[in-house]
Amino acid sequence: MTGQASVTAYLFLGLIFLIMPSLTWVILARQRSRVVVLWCAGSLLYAGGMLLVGLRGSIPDWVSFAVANLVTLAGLLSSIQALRLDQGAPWRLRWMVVAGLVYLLNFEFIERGLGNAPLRKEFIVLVHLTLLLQVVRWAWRIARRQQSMGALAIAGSHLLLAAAMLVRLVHLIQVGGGGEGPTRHLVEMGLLVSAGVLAAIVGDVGFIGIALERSARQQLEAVACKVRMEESLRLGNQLAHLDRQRSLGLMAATLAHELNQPLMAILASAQAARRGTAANRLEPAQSLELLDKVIANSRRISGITERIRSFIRPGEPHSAPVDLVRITREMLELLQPDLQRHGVRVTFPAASEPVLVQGDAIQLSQVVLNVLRNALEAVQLVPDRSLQIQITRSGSVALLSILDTGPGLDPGLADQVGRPYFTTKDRGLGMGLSISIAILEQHQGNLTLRNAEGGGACAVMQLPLLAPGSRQPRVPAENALAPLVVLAESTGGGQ
Amino acid sequence: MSPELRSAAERAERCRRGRIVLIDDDVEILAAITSLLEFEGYACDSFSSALDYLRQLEVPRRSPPGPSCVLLDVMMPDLDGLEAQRRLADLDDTPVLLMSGASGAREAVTAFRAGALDFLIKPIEAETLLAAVERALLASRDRQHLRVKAQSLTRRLAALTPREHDVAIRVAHGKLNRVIGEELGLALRTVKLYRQRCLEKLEARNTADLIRILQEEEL
Repeated sequence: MTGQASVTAYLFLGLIFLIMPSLTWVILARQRSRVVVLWCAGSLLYAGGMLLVGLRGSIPDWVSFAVANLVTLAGLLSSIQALRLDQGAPWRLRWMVVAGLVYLLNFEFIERGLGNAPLRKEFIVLVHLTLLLQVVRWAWRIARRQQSMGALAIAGSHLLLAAAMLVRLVHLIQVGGGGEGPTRHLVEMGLLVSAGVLAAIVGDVGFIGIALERSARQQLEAVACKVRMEESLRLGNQLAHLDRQRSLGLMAATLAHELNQPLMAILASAQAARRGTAANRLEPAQSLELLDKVIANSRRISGITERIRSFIRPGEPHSAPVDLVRITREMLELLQPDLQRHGVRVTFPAASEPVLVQGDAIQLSQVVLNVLRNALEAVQLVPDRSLQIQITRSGSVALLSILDTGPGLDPGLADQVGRPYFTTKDRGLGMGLSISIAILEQHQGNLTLRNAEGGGACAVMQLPLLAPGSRQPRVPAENALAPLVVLAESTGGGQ
Repeated sequence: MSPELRSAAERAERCRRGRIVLIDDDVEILAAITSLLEFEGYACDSFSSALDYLRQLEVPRRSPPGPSCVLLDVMMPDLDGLEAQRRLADLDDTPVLLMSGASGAREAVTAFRAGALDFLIKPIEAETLLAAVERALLASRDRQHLRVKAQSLTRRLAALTPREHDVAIRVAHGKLNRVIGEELGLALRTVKLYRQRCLEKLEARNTADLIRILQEEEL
């Protein structure tokens, strides 16, 4: 009678423990991590153990006793391991194997060595109780750390099961070797089965809850991260834009001169024509000549404004093949008045063909301008002023090197160069080089500054070369547009 | 007249009105301002570098008589306008006008301290430019007159013998003939004779005129 009831109870529990993890497995189809695998496997093993116990009598004893208990233990260990893994503190596999073996040996020793069946029962229940408490402990930890209702449900239901086990353990100890009363046994089995069913259902639902909460949180974090990236990208671009405006600001006096020269020529030509015509002293050929001068100088002005406008054009950077030779030449043109005014000789051997890299033309121009301006400022400190610019290919990278005849880098300060806000200049903000470095990193490139052997400093810009002939970006678009992390990353430790 | 002679004559005519030395590194500006000035009948010599002009000054060359001035751009590559102005001032007293498109008070003050006649901000209106040039040429003419006058006076003073010179100075100080005679150990008649010669040689109409001339020379 009682045996019959036990068998039914174990089979029923086994079925529940079989159904629930299967459901969990199906529901979490999209979140199947190792944790989910371990948890479901744990429940399934547990179910397997229960079913084997339930089939006692129909199958060989060693299967329904030793194997069944070992499988049940493995199931519990797997569940605990799932929770521990989730918290990043998994047990080592070899410890678990050893634990299983020790358990089996103990089990067999008590059974065969001592021939003490009641003690064996107590041992099994005690081990069960301990492991269940482990489940409770880790579930509770997850519940507390992540405010997870699901984990709380696991902890609660398994605590209840553990309590039922405790009741059974106490009773087993009380009756000792003597037979237990059938009614008492029935009540306890009922309690255990109820708690077991509860643990299976609530536990698995709780586990699904944890997984779903986790996935929602991850999505939220991914969105937040994306927003942060976008914000950082936007700020980075704004910063780069401001830096370009600042560069032009530094050139303001020169640019004013640049614009005033053609304006002056236009005004003087137009007024000469006007006065000449008014006094009737102007021949047609002369007036044509004067008008041509007005036209030519107007074009000169629009060329200058176009250069400025395209350099400070705000907006999204966009990735395209960029010819390093061309942007270097353009930036030299922009700096030409300054170079001329300070008597700086520039040698820039004409490249036979374009040197293509992938990236945003304006941001890369900005880097070239910053580096050139830096060199220009360095050579102003010495009487012999010259810049040697070279663009070369080396394997899969393009190298732009600018060698100046300036005083070079102060060795004591060399490692600080490029740090945000570090500057040796009175008017500098110290942002130019750090922005340049950030832009280059975004383009999978870098900037090195060192003292040249023959004196002066040498700045080398390195960028991945675009394979000749290929117009396809080698760098994925998102990569190329990774945020400029100049402020967030660099203020703390330096670069 | 042959074409060369005619152009030489025209050049001489223009130079009489005024010769402007234009220095700017921008050839477009040189061309435009030259047109403007030539329509006004001035002679215009343009240089794209102040060094070129200074080098040209080293070789003495006769240019037709007439007033002249220098119109100089401040921002130039190899030798900037302010430095060129300083070097020009060491050479002669030709009036200098500076022009600039992007200079501040500092440059203007430096220019005026070094004796610039005007500081023009580009782009310059034709009226402003021509008025400034007119003033500079007027100043040049005045300076040339003064120089000529000073030169002739120096020449006239040089014609006096030492004794006559001594007498002239004492006359200028308002001393009587008798006192002069005593001081220099000369007879009264001799003093009178020297005094007469001084009047003649310095081309003075009377004693008052003589005193004025000598005071101008600060003797």
